[in-house]
Amino acid sequence: MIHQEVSLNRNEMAALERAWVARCRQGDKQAIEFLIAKHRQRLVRISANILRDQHEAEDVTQEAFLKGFREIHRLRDDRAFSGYLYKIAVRLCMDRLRSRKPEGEIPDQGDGSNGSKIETKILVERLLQQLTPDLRTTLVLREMEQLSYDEVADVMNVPVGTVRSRLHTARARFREIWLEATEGGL
Amino acid sequence: MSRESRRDLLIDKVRHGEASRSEQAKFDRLMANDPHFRQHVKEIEASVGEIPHLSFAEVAPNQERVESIGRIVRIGIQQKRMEYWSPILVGAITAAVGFFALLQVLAYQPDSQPVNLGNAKAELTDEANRLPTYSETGR
Repeated sequence: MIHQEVSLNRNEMAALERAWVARCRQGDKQAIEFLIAKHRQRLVRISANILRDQHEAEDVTQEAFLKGFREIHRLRDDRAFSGYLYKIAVRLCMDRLRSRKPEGEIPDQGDGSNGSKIETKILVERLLQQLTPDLRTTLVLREMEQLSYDEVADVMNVPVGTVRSRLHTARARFREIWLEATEGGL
Repeated sequence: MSRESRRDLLIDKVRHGEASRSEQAKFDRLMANDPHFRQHVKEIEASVGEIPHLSFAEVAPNQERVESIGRIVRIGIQQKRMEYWSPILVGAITAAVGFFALLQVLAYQPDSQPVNLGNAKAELTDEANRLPTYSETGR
């Protein structure tokens, strides 16, 4: 069924999705599985990017689907189902980040600029974990998911000005701890 | 918005390919003339610029997993319906029992007088009394 969609344009796909969502509201098993298959991969990826843990991302995705379908009556426009699920997943990720214990100090990585790619990745991973859940999520949505400011604002349910300010703070903080960790080795 | 914030926004727009022609020109001018700006861009590229490389790849489609989530979702939906209907059913049953109890109470009259039957005479109608006795059979 997913393969059939390839030949459809954006409007047709939106109409098709709306029809599937309408069927879901009636508890249609086939429609539920179709929508899970359609959105699962994307939800796992965004959750893994925020949480930095693939297994936890799978759990969050399942939770997002459960919450999304149980509260589907709250969805006013069936065309917005994809964004609705995306928002639920991001918020669940943020809840998980908030409940985590804060990370300890970053061990000195030496001169990161001369280290291997893997060392750089490990360093970036650790630095990301130093950011608060709000800053980290905003940065991930912008840098990894390549969302626009408006899209980030919509997903995080905050004004665009807040996104701009958070991104500025997040980048400044990230750059600062990066420089500290690499001893300014640029 | 501070000067620093504006520059940060400009760098971000250029990095994401969202800059207008005038913004791109401003960026190029600053890169050419301002060593601090150049250093800042270099640091952003080295630090924040590494973040997209850490993005997880999409997981492979997994029908088994989809079915498993589908089952959990359907159970969840049923539980939700139960959560919705259970209090309504309990409420309805309680209301019905209360209503019948109220009717019973209203119908009960402990001070009512027995019915006066006047000169009415009670009479046994039991056919068993007409059965022959032992003495009547002549034994």
